[in-house]
This record gives sequence, structure tokens and C-alpha cells, in this order.
Amino acid sequence: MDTNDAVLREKVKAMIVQCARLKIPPSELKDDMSLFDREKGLGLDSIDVLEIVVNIEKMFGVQIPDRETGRKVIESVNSIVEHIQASSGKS
Amino acid sequence: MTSGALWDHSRHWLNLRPIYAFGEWVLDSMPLFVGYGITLGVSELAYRFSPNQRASLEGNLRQVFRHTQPAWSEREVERKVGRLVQQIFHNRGVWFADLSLMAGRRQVDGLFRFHRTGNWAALERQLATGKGAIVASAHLGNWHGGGVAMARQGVPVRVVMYRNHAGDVMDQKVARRGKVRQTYIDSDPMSMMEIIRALRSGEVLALLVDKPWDSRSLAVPFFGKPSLFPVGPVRLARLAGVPIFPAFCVWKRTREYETVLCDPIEVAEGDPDQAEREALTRIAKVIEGQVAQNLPVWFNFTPAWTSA
Repeated sequence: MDTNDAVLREKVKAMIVQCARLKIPPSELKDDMSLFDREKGLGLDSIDVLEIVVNIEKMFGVQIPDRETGRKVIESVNSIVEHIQASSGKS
Repeated sequence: MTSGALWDHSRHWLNLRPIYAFGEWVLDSMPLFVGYGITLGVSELAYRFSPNQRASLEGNLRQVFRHTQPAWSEREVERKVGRLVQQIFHNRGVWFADLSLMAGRRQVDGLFRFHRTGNWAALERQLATGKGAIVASAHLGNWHGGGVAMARQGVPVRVVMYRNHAGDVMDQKVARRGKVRQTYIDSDPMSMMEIIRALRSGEVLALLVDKPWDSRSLAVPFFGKPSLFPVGPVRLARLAGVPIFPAFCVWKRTREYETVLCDPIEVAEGDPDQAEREALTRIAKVIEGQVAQNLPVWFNFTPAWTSA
């Protein structure tokens, strides 16, 4: 993991914590933790998805055009980071 | 996303898919007076054999009268409540009959009349910007009819709703015949992608905002007491940068409705939580005013205040 990747990951984690109003520090989010799983993950819901999608667009300038892409992208910190990197041509 | 509580409110011996299908068949196939007559009989049965729904209505109406009519004695309140509860059950029967007709093969155009009142010009101005808007309604009058009426005016309407396990087939037929788009939000959190895209492409999203469908709710004043309202609509408005128009489709007489579009409410910039609370408070206030004017068609069969 290079410096840019680590910085991006931290930003994504901070964004998720802020959007979902989580009461944990961003560093506690694991990269591969499911965002929706209620038992093993964060248990986010549709309102969180809304916040996250809008903030990904606003903060990183990256679009998530449809449901199918959203399902793949908003799955974990890893998948969001990968999508941002791919969309920015940095992968 | 749903919780178990979502379905609790609709658990009733009449809220079954075959009942909806039978009602639709009767209204579609028989002379209208037969259909409405049967509906009246069934709604009287519902009134007599629905103790939980009756109790909820009574509790809701008591609070309304204590707030709006402080000079009334408890006896007066009880007398008024008793009369209104029966009337509401009967009107709900008419609501069901009208909805069945809207879903059926008869042409809605020739059967129903919708009169527009309120600030429709503001909605037209908003749509002219290319962005959509949110229409926030309540369980008052015929909310399905409101969507149909808007679509008939050429407004691109999308109804955002939780699936009614008994009435979903009828809901879909009404939407199809009325040229209203639908998005269900209970099964897939990614439905929000479709919703935000619809708003950005100039559609009007119609939602019911007077029941706390999930855990994302805020308690705001409603007839003098905090009541839970869902935060989703105001958050959506804030994030998409669109206004919310409270709107109601109020039954005036048989198959005749008034579609009231109230002044738009903007979610202010600044502290998002504060802005959402303020917008929700204003929406609740508008709903309060409409409910107070139209109590016989306030179809809220669940307690409006218990969980606040």
C-alpha cells in the first residue's frame, strides 16, 4: 500500500464515519468490513447509501451511475477505494 | 430499510391480497352502486371488529381535539371522537373503492375529478430549472389519487414507497394506469441510486412522510406533542438540493378530489442536523393544518404519538 493509497483509504473511512454518523474513530473501520451486514459489518441502510453516494461524488469527483455499480462499489472500504482509483485512472 | 414494525401497522383481517383482488373485481365488474354498497357494509364490519385500529384512531383524535379545542369538556371530546371514528372507517371504505376503480379497467379519466389548489406555479418553476422536487404527503385522503392527479397534469411523478404486502398488486395497477412511476425502497438500499438519479433528471418524487417507517426518525411537534417523522425525505432534499412540497389529495365527494400543493419548504444550508429538524418541523406543521381541516379522511390507524 503506497502513501497515496493509504491517504485515500483514510479519507474514505472518515467520509463513511461522517455520513453514517458512526460513533467510532475512522481507524477502527476494517478495509474489508461489509458496510451492510448487520451482524459482522456496519449495518448501514438506504439513507447511509444516499449520503455516501453524494459524498463520493462531491469529495472525489467520481460518479456511481446506477444500482448495479452501486451494489459493487458500496460494499466495503476496499471496493470504494478501488472504484475511486479506477475512475480517476490511477489503478 | 425496513424493520419488523413496518408490517405491524398493516396486520388486519381485511389487509389480505385476495380481499384486494375481490374488491377490485367487484368494483370493476358490477354497477358502481353495488360496489360502493358492498364497501360500505364491509367498512361497517371493519369498524365493529377492529378494536386495535379503533383504539388508535380514538387516541389520535383525542390528542388532536385536546390541542385544537382546549375549551371542550372530556365528554364533548369523547362524543366527537366516537362519531368521527365510525365516519373514518366508512370513508376508508370509499377510499378502498376509489382505489379499486383506479386500478381497474374502467377509465379513470371519465370517473374521477381532481381540482388543483395551492402553489402549483412554484412546482412548475422548480421543474423548469431541470431539477426535480419532493412531494411530501400524509395518510390523508387518497394519496394514490394525488400521484395520478399530478401525472394527469403532465408532472413526471415517481412514487417512492414501501411494499404493501396485500395491496402491492393494486398499487402497481393504479400506478400503471395513472402513468406514475414507482420505486420500492424496502428491499434494496441501492434503490436510493434510482431515486437520486430521478431527482436530478427532473422527476417529482412523492412520499408519505407521516409515519416513522424505520429507525431514522426525528420527534417534532405535532398537535402539541412530539411525534416521530422519518428523516429520509428531508435528507434526500438536502443532499439533492431540491425543495419539498407538502401535498394532499383530499376527498370532497364521490370520486371528486382536491389536490392541494402547499408552498415549498427548502432545507437550509449550514448545520445539516439542525436544518433537517427545522424542515421536518415545518412539514409536520403543514400536515397538522391539513389534518385538522380534514379529520374525517385522516386514515392513520396506528398511534401517532406513542413512540416519540
